Amino acid sequence: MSNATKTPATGTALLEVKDLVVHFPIGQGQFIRPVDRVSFSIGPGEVLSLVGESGSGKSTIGKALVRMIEPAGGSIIVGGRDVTHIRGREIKEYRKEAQMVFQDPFGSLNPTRSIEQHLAFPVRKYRANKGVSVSEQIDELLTKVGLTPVAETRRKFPHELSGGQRQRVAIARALAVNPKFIVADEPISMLDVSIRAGVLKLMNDLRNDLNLAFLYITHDLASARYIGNRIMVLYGGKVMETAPSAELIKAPTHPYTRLLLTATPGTRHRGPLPETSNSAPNLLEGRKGCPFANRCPLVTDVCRNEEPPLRELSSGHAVACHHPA
Amino acid sequence: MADNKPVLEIEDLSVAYVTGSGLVHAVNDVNLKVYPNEIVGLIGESGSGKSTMAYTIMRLLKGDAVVTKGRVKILGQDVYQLSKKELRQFRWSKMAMVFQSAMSALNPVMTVETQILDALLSHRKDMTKEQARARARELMELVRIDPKHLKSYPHELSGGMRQRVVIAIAIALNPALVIMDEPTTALDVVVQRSILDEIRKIQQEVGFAILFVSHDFSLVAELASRVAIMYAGRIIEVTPSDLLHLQEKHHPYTEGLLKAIPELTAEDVTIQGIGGYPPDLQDLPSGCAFHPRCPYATDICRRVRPEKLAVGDKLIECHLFSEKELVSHV
Repeated sequence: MSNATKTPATGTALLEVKDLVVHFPIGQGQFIRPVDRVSFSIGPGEVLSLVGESGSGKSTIGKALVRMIEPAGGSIIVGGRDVTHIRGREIKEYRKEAQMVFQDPFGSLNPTRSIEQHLAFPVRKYRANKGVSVSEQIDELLTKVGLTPVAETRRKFPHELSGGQRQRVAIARALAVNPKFIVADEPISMLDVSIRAGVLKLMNDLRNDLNLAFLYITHDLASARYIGNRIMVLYGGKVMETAPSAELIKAPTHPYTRLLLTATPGTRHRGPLPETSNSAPNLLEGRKGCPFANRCPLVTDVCRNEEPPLRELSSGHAVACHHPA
Repeated sequence: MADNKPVLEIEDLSVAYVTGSGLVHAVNDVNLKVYPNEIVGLIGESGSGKSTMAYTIMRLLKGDAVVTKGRVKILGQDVYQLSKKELRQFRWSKMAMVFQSAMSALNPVMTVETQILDALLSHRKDMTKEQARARARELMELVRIDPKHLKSYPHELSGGMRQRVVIAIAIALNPALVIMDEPTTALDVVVQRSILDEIRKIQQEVGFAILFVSHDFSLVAELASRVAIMYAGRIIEVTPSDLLHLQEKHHPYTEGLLKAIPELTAEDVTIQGIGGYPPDLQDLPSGCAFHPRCPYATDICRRVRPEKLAVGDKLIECHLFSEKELVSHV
């Protein structure tokens, strides 16, 4: 396997994922693999955008990274420490480094707790900043995410906030433990268009100011490109293509990436959509060939029988395809 | 076909929800016409009143919503003057709707065929079951689903196929107007694109007008020929969709939305959100409802509600444009 997805030469990787496998039992001794031998790394202050359709395994990767689920194979190394199979207290410790922001800002906050309570809990529990009072830390967090005036916001309950404001609270809560990286799972897809830009910009600022790394999970290529240093395209639990963001948009080589780009509204170089079936990929363990084979316009026999390895085309640009463009 | 007679005419329409704490003004003084075979986009954020509009046109408003002012006419017929019985005949044969969630629009315990037959037979008393079956097959082919799936239940179909079935049912009786309320929002981009392509194709083949309700700018701009943009229950701009870019002058809200979307293929990606948050519909700001968020707001915006002005081919509700004619261009 090539190490095409290594970080730019800025320093050592903060997070190294190697051959990550997640599987779920579906009865009769069979398993599906929503994540199948995925490797990547993220450097400090870097944003990796993970793009794919529903069922591609992108959220499962995010959950495995913060260890909400335990991988069946491969390894996750964070800051030199192997967290692949940690348990109990160790996971709690690990949450100081890795946090998650969820898609639904309506479901992720407790309706009976004020914003202050939401933030006081992680601040007290993890004591990330000793010597600063809890109250001061809450003020600081709310200022950081732009929820001012602070005194007013603190007293409010989730139902008094708009979706965008709630998502900012969720981000503030994630920041409360001073994490090194955040998994943001479709953080803007439930927000209104005029609000999305603000949340994206906030994430961008946090990356720059706190040197925070993000795994940004999305199905929207435009925002993936805006925020991500690199984009990784996922299909059927496998990495199809990965490249620096601008390059992936400008020179996509995998048929699936090209299909995604053609389908995205607002693109100037639009061609007709190639005739493909819309059937879902086979996720069964032990499948053969390329997961995209049954939808690919360029499919040949080799695609159905042999899984294409992820090959590096140029520095940082890798593709898993037998017939890349 | 008399092309200049609108299919849908909305005149001075206002709709409010009656709540315990007062009226929520969801739609305010809306005027809009849709012509035969035209696709008009209706864009707005949540709470802008776009879905309320759609439901009002279909006369599907629930008990606590009232039309406080204005009229909705379809093919010249005031929808609110129909008796309950007439309405039942009118709805679906003249106007139909495609809902956002295909899963909840379809009945999970009935096969696709039963549901299509149901729509056909309850409106066409003269139709025999055989004719209806044949029509059902035809419809399935039109939306490019293998007719063998007529025997399928909704849960056996993918999300995209379900939405195609819903579209098939909507056009079953050849309505003049189909309202589509975010029909592709829950779908993956590739499926979304293929369904949009199909909608366009079927629309040209069969011939009906579409009011396409969405929050997605770039998507609507591609599909529709004209786009109406709603904010706080008002249509603040109507523009030909090919003018929907930043080189053209727009309502500050439209401009803000355009700047808020990261462009996929531009060399340098910068985005800028609109400050503030959408207004409280129970307590709308004075003057122009957008003024608290508007970067160009002046004193008059706080006091006086702007009139609609024709700016080239666009209709814009903003003081900026009435002043611009006096003051030289900035």
